[in-house]
Amino acid sequence: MRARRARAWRALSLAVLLAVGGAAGAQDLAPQLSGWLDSSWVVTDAAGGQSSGLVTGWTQVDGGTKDVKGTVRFDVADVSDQAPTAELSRAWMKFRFPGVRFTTGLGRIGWGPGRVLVPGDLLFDSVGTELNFESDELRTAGAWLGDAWVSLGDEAFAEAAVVQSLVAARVSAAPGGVTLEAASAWDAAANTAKAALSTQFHLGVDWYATVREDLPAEASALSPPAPSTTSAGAGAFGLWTLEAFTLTSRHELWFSDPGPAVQAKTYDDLIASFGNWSVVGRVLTNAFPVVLTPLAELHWGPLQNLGLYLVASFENPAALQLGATAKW
Amino acid sequence: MRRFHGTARAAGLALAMLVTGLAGAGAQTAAGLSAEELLARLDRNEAGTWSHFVGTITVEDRFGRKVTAFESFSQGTDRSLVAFTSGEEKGQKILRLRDTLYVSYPEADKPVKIQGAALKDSVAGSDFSYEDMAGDPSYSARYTAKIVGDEAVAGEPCVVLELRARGPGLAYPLLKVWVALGDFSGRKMEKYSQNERLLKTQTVLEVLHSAGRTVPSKAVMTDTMRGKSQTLFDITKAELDVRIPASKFSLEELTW
Repeated sequence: MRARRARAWRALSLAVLLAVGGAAGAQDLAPQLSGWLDSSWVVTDAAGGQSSGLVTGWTQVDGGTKDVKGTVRFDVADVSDQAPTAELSRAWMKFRFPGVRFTTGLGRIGWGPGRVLVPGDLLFDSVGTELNFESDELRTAGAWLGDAWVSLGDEAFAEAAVVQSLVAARVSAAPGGVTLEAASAWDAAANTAKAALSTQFHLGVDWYATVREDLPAEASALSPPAPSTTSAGAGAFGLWTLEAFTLTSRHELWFSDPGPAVQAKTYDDLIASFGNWSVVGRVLTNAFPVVLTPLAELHWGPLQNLGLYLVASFENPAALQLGATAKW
Repeated sequence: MRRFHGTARAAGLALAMLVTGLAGAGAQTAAGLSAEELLARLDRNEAGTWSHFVGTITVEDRFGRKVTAFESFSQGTDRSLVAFTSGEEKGQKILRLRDTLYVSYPEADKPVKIQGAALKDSVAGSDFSYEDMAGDPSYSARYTAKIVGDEAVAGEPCVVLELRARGPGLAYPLLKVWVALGDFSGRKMEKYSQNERLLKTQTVLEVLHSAGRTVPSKAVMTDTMRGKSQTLFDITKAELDVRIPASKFSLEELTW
């Protein structure tokens, strides 16, 4: 039943995509090609006995008119000892009327404040820590979706989205410079209702906080509902400049209590930048049991669209990752 | 992080130019005007007008030279949108709604609100900070003025105004502004710290006249804290007082 519903939604999205794309094509569609590539080599043995290569990236075509836009993107990956892969990761179209915008297709929408741990994201549950910090996009996983965005003023809007089996809505406003966002969702596949309340403000440094409740519905009259999950997230970001140096620091915390066992994660980074160089210290922590993932990174951008980096892991000092990123 | 702090390389310099009061107005004489009256004339230069600029910014520092094209739209001093159309920052946009800045990146799934500490960050590695762009552009409300001299800038006779903050909390407690006697446009500005250390200098090199107004078409900004660095701002197309829809200055447009 769910699979049939997902197929129907995908077919509907594609139909809208093609219809609107055709209309756009009849106007002044001006396709543009862009892409990003990350190629790295991990040496896992100081003696050079073991090593592996990894190439990931994407290339996409964007086009559109004043009121219609579309994107098609393919992700590519080539890992040592495995066959290269190419996968359609974005195929969306958006169109707008005064004050209203619609998006449909295969894409990704970001809800909730935060960068690494984002409990306010009811659509994609962005609290996982499998991230590519070398990419401009920490998370790339998309889904077939439909979205309607309505302006409610300069800094206020309402949005409704359907992402596969999930139906969600949110309202956001920024009275007095404090951003408030309220979101709720119903996940038919998980039979769960979700609600989140988030805020962003500045007090010495930039802060955000989110509280969220996931409430499973009663499965049947005979079986009791599963326990609800309360989660919360908070973060702070600071930036200081001294002469030509820029120092930034971000700290994020996520806490979840699904009942049987409390879970927690933290993310901290400290970045010192000077010209085209930057030194990064990064720590990801998973609690209960505690697992620390400290990383030290050195970045150098010799050219405008070319970056080189070296990543050392404190867990395995013998493992070094050397890489290059290119963007066009 | 790299993107957030290092990539918007060209963002909103047109906007910054407007905010810092380097645009001009119709020709009048400064004879008999007090410092406060001169400041009010400077403030009025931008009030209630629409602007559309196309141009480039060039950042020159010890690492080389980088040129980025941009297109900017503004309504008075409260609303601006800058879009980068070439280079590493292509597709990035900066929206200013009064004192609030939002930045969107083409690959990001949501815009970023620039506030507090992040306002001090360099805009795309240039000599402009987000704070230079986001600050309240109305000088009269925030500064007291006195005339401290006169000096020509690029051959244009100017009155030099010294502006001191009326209260705490401003990024630049002391400013010096060179106001052209011919059109009351700002031709040069120096920005100082609390201890009166020079932080930034912005100088207009060329102006253009359109729709009865005078605007800078070429200017240079230097940040003394950045060593050998300067940012050249060059307008190649200017449309003044052409009505721009209010929807252009919205979160919807930012993320479009």
